[in-house]
Amino acid sequence: MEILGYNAISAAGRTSEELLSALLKGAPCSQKALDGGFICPIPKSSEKEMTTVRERLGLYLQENWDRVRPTLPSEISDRLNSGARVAFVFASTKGIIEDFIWTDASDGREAPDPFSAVIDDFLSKEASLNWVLSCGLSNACSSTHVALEYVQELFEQDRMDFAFLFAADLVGPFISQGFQSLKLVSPTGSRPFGENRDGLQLGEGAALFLLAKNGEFSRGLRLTHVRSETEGSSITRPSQNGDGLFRALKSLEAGSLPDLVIAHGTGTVFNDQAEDQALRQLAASGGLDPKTPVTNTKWCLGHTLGASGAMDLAAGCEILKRQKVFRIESTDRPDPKLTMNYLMADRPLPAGPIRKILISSLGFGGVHAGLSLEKTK
Amino acid sequence: MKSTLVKYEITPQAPVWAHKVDRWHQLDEVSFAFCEALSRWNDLKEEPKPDLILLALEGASNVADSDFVRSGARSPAKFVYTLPNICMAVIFQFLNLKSRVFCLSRGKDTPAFAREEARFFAQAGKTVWVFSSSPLLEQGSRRVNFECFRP
Repeated sequence: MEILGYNAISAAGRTSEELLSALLKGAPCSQKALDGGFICPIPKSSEKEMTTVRERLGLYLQENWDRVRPTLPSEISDRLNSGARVAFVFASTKGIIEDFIWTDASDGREAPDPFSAVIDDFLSKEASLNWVLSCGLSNACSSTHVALEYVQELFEQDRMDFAFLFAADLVGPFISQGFQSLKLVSPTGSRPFGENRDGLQLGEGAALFLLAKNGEFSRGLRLTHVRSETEGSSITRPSQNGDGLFRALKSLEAGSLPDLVIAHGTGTVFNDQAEDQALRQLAASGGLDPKTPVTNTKWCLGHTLGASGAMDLAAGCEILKRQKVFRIESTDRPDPKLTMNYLMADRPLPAGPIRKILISSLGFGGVHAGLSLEKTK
Repeated sequence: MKSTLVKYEITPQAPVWAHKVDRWHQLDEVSFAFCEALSRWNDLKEEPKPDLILLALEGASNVADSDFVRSGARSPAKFVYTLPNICMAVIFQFLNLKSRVFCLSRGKDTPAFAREEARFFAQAGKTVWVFSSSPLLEQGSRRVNFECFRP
């Protein structure tokens, strides 16, 4: 798939450039959360008065599109506006449910699904486009990867000319209290792959990608392959030997080895251990040079749940465009039990050009996924 | 299509399928319903193995979400089921299966949309299983459905 345009709104700011700048600067975009730990919220500007999650997500979706649209060359805009078949897929876990859940005394059976209203609002505003398919896709924290895999299938079946992939999750009391109940929130901040890691920090993110099939309107950034696997391991923990993620990564299209890995790296003991095992297996099978630097975004942007793959993808696109790599600045001591080349705070940055990036993902419910991103120009 | 109505009752006595899934007594309504139905759909193992599974829950995880909040928003055992895709992990434990899963959502049209997508995937040469359920109860029970689409 070709990435024709993208933008990411995150705790770092309203653009993908600000996202990369924050990661390069080396300071987390976090603040203390009221109920413990740290959180990386999207800084509020025009949405200050907004009261519903639906309104906020609608604003972020429209703002992303308003930033992407002017960057499109006329050949793409013209094709998009001349009846081309367009799909809209909204990837999210559930950061959108806050509005009714605390006040609705019912058991939720009559409540609408939490995704469709945001989609319908946007499609009606952009009614001039030929929307032939729209849906929500919710595969836990791998929602972005799985949604991209679905879009990949739509292109392979020649059912679409373009696809909008919107990935977003916000943090409200439901998410916050839920993760606190699981005891997964670090009281001190996220240190992915660190010896003293003790949990994650939650974050908010909303990103939009405009996609087309391989070779169509190339703008120099290509998703060469996306693949997921789901297994019936523990509901919240990945298989500790990393087999599930390894299978997904191994089945990515062969070709040149990645120059960089952006790992999911939540900063929880079990996730990071399983991910290291999977990457080690991938290296042993020849799919990755064991010295390949591994970096991460969650120490800075927080864990944006279903949007985390989108934050990593936006960061990957920026790295390929600007050839600047960021470290895992919050982690100074790597876990000695982990084996990969994690770009800790004091590690040298890669010297050579970055042409290909592997982005991994794991989610509750046994879902594992990987994608391969390449610079083609 | 296979279709079964299941009443959600966690009783002291373990169901016959209890050994197949983790902590059966903590399952949410939809996961419990699928497990109960799977125990009745004996011929499911004769279906061709799926290349892809589509999970179509019309109300996403709204019932589990409400259950978490109504019980005080403190229970990790309830929170883990507050994701629409989670019941698929339970189904996979039950069937000892691995596959790709797309958990799709499109309001009231979700099950019909998933079946339509399954037809497209089948035309493209894939075997697709569709698991679907509506949150609305019939005679106090939840209906769960299964359908296999072949190339």
